[in-house]
Amino acid sequence: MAAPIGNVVIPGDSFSLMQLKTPDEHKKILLGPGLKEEDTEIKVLRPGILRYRKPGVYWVDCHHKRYVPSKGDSVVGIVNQKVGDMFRVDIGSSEQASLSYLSFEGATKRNRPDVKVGDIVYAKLLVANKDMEPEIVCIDSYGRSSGMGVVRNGGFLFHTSLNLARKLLNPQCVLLKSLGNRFQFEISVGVNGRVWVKAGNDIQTIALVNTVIASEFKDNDQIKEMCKRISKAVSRMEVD
Amino acid sequence: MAAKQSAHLSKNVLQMKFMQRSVLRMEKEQNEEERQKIIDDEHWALDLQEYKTKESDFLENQSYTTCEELLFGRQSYQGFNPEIEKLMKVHSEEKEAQKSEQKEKEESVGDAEMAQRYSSLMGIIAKKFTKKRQRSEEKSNQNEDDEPSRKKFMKPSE
Amino acid sequence: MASFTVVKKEDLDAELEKGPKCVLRGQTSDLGCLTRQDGSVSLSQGDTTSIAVVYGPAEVRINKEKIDRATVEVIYRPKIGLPRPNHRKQERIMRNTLEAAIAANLHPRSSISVVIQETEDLGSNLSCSINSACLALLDAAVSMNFMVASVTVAIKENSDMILDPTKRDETEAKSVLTYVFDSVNYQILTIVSCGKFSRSEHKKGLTLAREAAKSVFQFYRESMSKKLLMSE
Repeated sequence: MAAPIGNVVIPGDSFSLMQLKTPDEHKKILLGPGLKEEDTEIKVLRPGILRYRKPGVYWVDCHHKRYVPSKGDSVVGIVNQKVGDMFRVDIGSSEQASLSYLSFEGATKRNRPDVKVGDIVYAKLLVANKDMEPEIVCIDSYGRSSGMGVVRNGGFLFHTSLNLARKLLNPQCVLLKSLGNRFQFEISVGVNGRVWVKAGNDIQTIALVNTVIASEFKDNDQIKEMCKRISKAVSRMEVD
Repeated sequence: MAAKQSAHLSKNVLQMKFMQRSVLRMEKEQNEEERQKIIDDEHWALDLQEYKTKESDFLENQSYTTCEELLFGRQSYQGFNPEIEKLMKVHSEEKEAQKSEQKEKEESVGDAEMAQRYSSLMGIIAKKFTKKRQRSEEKSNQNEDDEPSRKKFMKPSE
Repeated sequence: MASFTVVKKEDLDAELEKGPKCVLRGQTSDLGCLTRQDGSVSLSQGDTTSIAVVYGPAEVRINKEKIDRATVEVIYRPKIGLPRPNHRKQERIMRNTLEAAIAANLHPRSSISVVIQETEDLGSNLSCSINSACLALLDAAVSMNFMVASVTVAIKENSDMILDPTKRDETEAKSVLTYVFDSVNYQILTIVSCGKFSRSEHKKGLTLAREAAKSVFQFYRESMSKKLLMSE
């Protein structure tokens, strides 16, 4: 019996190596979130839908609202405090993340970045370990910002479930593309379920926020339809 | 006691002929001390078998970003933020390049395979150019090589 | 947002056919009934209902912090008045049970808190509370080693068994036993007993409860499937 890909799995379920599709030889199977290896068996820890991607990646797609940091994730955080040469940033996890002032593009000991308490930052998780405080950075390994850093000039920040945030960033999802065809806007999606939107005017911004929130349980066709309706409604409101 | 006393003796005194024996003794003592030190270091190391961890068949990764191959989270449309838009373009190009590379890898012939094919082909072509006599000579040579092993003395079973 | 109800019609039908004493009362659940919490559920077992919510893994107070695992907190809120000592006892029983189920070692130095609001106690309240807590944990997708299911059995004076008793059954019975099972091997996790019972009665009650627990696990799976496959 093959592993139940695409079906619902719940904690306590387990399957053996035989049930998994192995990639080529010498390649290992990658177990994603919600799965754990235990005594030659794979145990499910979280309820969700079992997913598979070539070559040999398995994970459980579950419905979350609380963010648990993992390395390499891009998150939207709020600077809460300045402690010495560190910032404490709220990224929605159980512990606040630390952000060194040196991990900004072009920052040196003399030339401090312009970051204040209350700023929104788009950052990447450098250290994410269950036993350690998460650490985020606003530069890549080459020392360039590559789109990360303080998100400025107004806009609107709102919270979504983690699924929705992932859905927005999924290459298959058409929401952002079809909104992009109709509106001029900028969006920052963190996988920690925080989304920042800014458009030309407030009406558009509010419309975009509502569209994003409403798309959680819609498929691609429904989303396209919704975007069409929204853009019509917005243009009518802007005329008034 | 002697060591303590000799510590005070100056270099000049030690160089004198009647002090030679004492110098030798001091050197010996020092060597002994050093040896003791080495033993002490070894004393603390446990002579255990090498600890082997079983290699796991799986890699664990708790990030959805890598599992689902998510896009970069900052996006801009219709020139709202040109900087971000430029970045988006770079990202999509990178992805495309990666994809095509992957495809190429799957479709193209590997180096090892190529080498193997080529060597076997070389054998066939080489055969074409060797004459019949040469070929038979080669064969007989091979047989000769094999023979000594066959004629080996076999120990009778008791 | 994500609200829906699962009514097991088979359960209801079976209940009517066999009479109310041999099977569990009909269970309904409403997962994600509240939006601000990480996980929430409103569960009813027959006429007994309770709402459970889960927060976590969240920040923990420094005096409750455990260095190697998550702190599991259970708070029970009665329908009327302030929590009393018997509610505290119930909290402790639930906390010990849930601690076994939750994979607490995956989230050290954080807290997983479960709040249970009693909305209607008409018998088998402890079972309903534990089951709702487990469903709320599933709704919040907290890492768990296994699930738990609780079933209450009342033993009458003539040693008749009543599965999932009503309030009246409970008061008339000579003893009331609440069992909690895990979802992997259906082994006992917790037993809470009240009143006198013999060994054979306990054995009989255990086998009865174990069978019933399997249907509870099936109910969990169906509830979660409905929730998760909704957006597919």
